[in-house]
Amino acid sequence: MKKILFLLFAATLIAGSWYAYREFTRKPGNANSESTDFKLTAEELRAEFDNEDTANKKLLNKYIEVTGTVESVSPNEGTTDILLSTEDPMTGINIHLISEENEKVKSVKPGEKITVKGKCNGKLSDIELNAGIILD
Amino acid sequence: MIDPSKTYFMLSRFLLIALFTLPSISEAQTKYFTKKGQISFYSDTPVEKIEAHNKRVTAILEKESGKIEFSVLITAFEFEKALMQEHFNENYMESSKYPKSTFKGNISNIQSVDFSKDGEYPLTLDGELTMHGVTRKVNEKGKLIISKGKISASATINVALKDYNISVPSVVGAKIAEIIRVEIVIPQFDLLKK
Repeated sequence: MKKILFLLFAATLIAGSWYAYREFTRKPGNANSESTDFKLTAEELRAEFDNEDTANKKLLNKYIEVTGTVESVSPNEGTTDILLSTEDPMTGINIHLISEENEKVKSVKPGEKITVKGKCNGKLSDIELNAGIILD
Repeated sequence: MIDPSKTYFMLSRFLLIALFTLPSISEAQTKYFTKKGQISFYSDTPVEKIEAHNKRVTAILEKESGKIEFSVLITAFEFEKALMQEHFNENYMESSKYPKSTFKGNISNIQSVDFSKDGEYPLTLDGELTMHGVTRKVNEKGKLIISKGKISASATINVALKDYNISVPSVVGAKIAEIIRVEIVIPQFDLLKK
């Protein structure tokens, strides 16, 4: 009986430590590891931010698939940002890609239609998404 | 053949337009802008070093007045570990409630910067920093670098967490510094086209 209790205790301890270690070393999620919460066009996403407070409540930290036309592709300190155009020339959708996308992004050209996925951070001058990947 | 009276009319109209628009042009500010500023912060304690980076800071600088503004989205800060990022957003910065942080202020010694001459110019920043819903006056040092016509800038702001109503539970208190070093780097300011 004592032996069983001891084994049970040891097993719990090992499982607990393993869980704690996994939790502690867990890397932040990105568009590859997280499921999609919303699918929108670039213009639909921009329109959501006509009311910034409502948009933040609905979309902040959510992973969004955005389809739109590439306005520009620009390097940003070892990674790349893709800007999608909307009907408002002052507001684009800016997706900050993860570094794993560095190769794939080389074939993306302005004017192309593209679908990207990223985590919504909110709005500055553009609507910003990070931890992003290229889908199509 | 150009009709002389028509030429005269056009010329006078041009002069009239010039007369009214020139003063406003000379008063207008030369604005510089970037969407690719960087903010990093560092919390150093003997127990744990924590850092986070954000490479999409918007900044705007008015050359003549020295007015300067930064804006940053809190959920765009990237950490090495998921737990740090989650605690930062959910417990400390409450980013769903306060998604943005801004600095609005002035470079009080902007007159000492010669934008036409390469060099490193020390700056004094005066302004208001808003984060976690709290706005406070800050006064910090920075520098502006002019190199081959390109403008870059950097500044460090030391933020005491308690000043911004950010409380750290005592259980994790030893892991998080009371004063966080916030480094702002603007790799390049671009001339804002109207």
